[in-house]
Amino acid sequence: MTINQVLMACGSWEITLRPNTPREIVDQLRIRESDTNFSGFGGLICTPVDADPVLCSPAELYRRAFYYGVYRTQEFATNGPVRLSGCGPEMWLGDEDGKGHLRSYLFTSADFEAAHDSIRTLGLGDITKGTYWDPGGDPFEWDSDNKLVSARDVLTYINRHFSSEWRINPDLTYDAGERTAMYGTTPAAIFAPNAYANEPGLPPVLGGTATHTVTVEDFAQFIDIEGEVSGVPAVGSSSRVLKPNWSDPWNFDASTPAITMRRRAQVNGKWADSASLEAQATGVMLFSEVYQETTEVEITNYEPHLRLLGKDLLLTEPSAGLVDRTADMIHIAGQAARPMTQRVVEMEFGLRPGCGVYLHTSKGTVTRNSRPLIHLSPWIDWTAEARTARITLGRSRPTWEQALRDHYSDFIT
Amino acid sequence: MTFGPVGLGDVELIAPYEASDSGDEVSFTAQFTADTPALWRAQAQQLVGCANNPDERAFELTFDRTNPLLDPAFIGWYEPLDIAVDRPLAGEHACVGELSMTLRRITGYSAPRIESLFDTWILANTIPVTDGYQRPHWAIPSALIEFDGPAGGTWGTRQSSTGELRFWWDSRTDTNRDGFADSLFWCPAEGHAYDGAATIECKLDDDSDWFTITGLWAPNQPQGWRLGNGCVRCWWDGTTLRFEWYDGSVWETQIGVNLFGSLAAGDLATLTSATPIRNSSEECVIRTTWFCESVETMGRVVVDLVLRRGSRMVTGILKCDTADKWAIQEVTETNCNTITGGLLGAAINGNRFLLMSADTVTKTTADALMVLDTSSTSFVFGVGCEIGGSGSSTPNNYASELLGFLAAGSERKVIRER
Repeated sequence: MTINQVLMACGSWEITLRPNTPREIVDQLRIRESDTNFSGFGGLICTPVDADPVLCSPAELYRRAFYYGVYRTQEFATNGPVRLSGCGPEMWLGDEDGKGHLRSYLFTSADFEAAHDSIRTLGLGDITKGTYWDPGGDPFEWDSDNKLVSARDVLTYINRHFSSEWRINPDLTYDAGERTAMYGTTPAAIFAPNAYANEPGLPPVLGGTATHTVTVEDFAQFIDIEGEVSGVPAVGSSSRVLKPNWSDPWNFDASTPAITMRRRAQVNGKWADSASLEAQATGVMLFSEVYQETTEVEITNYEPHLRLLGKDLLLTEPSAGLVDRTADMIHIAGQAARPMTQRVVEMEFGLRPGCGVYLHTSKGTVTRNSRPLIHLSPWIDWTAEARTARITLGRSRPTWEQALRDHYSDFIT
Repeated sequence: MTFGPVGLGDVELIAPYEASDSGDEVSFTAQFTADTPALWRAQAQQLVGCANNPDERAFELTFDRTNPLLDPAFIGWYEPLDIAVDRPLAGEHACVGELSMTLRRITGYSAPRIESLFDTWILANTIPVTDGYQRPHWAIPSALIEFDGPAGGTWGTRQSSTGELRFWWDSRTDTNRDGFADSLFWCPAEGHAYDGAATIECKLDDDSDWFTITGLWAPNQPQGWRLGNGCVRCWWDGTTLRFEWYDGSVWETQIGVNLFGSLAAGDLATLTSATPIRNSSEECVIRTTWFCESVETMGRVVVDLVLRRGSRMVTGILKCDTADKWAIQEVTETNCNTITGGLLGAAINGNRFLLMSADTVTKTTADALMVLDTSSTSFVFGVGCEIGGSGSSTPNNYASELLGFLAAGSERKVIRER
């Protein structure tokens, strides 16, 4: 049973049911019984503690859920287990193929709240408004020029413009806002392979192994966003001061390098002015570091209710290079440490026995909003990897490439 | 025969003894014996503990070369792959058991390179001592085959009860450096790898003597543990934390230290458990848990006691759930003097003890007492000693001890092939 979550992208999940799952349960899972009676697009709900749905209200399950997924695929094998899979609720805004809520948009002077509300309210059904942390700023103006665009593409433009992010919570509420307001700045956990147990004064301690990568492969000195302003092609650029000199790469003071390193991207639709295009470029520049630092961490004692996606993690293992000499000092396991802070941008984890797993479909016996819940927890094939999690971290900002890579390729290569 | 810090040299190996090697693996089986059942059990723990210690992954195996029964060709450095001890059953002799070890040779029969990865910076403090003024120190056994130490700084010696140490401290006057990070290469002479090592000792289960434990599995005996390194040692005697120091020839200058919360916690009167959380020759850490007088309102109180090889200062890191104004006091309330960073005790056996803190404290010299000014959920303190009293000089004087206390950091060693 594996769940994969990615910031502002669909992710995926997969469950295997034990071979002795009753026929009655398996039948209710059928993706397609008839054109009017099917379980496809049902909701997978995961809670930290298992409860029989007849004993608690379905609304409570949603409140306690740490994951909500959309059920898309069912796989039967002869004499074998039943496998269910799907992806995250972000698919309603645009899935990995670019399918989703496609429509044309016209934003005239939309502030942060109006921009996000128009994405959310246009036919997305149960996804209700959560909380907005408005970062302020110039209004967003954009016209898709009567072309159909997916909501996720539009959200990319909106969030570059406001330097913000969005997320869909497991209870199907939609949040948007500036990152540190939305996720907080307090680290949610500390990865310390040589520590043994939780300590007072520190966030939960996770152990395991880590691979830390630093690269300049994605470095760009200029970001050039090409779009259409008042019917005429225009370019908005954002740049950074740092510019390696190609004959002497570490001489950053060279004022006229022989070659500049520029990255082009094209955006669709009609833009109000070149300042808007420049805001898009700045939005990308803000989130792409001079050097990209990622850490892959394999945790051996993960608890799924920690809900780490999007939050900061502290990492400390000086002999493996996981140290930040400018950070505040902490004490852990009797050592003084200067942990580095990185942000969780992708997670893959298994569930442990004891979690509650439910499918919310048109069949089943307990209803929420007239749609029944099927209790799957007793029939899940919990795998041996249930306690391990693979976490990908980046510096305390997402790289937009990571967030969009399964879907949106506006960068010209 | 010794394996790591295990004093098998004191233990007679009884024939039959078998050894075989294949590729880079060496296997031994032997019977071994001890004078008492408690000693035998301690030896068994030491042997097995060598194989499950994440902090110390390789050991030196040495033989007495004059013993005709033992093949000196096996002397070298090994990584334990498997160590098994067959314990005697009821009815069998309680002091004889079978040992089998499978080891992987690291460098053939010759000496390895030990690389110590050493990274320090200034301990966050309100004394204030600013970054650049702390004085990290580092100690290795004096008997060496080779070493390449840190650039700059000053070398000296320090005598521990388990052998002489080569002692380095950072005496450079460059105040612009951001801590100190280096790779240091050394290799001890045969039989001297554990001179002056930081150790965790436990009382034998018949309470007769102490034995060094290896690995992290120690019996939970709140009054039966001792943290030491041949220069200082620390234990709990049932009512107080006790410290004593080695002045080069004898153990003396014993003091007792009490911890308490001056607002709500009351006395930290009961040490409820002691767990080794790091056990390697360069540093040992014991985590102690405590009950205070008002434990229901205070929650957990944990004190990590940290000791490095060659240091005379035991660092204590108290962490708790509920903030309080934590305090430290020498138990006989010997009249003290105020010094930067703490209190300097009167001379006992010619040496002056030190109580230090990195946080802002109010000192009462007549009561040998330091109390935090502001409630906090953490309290970092040090208990050390100026050996030689007022006649001492750098690095043994109290000013140096303070600057060493403030050089926080981490050290790990890796055994490398040549």
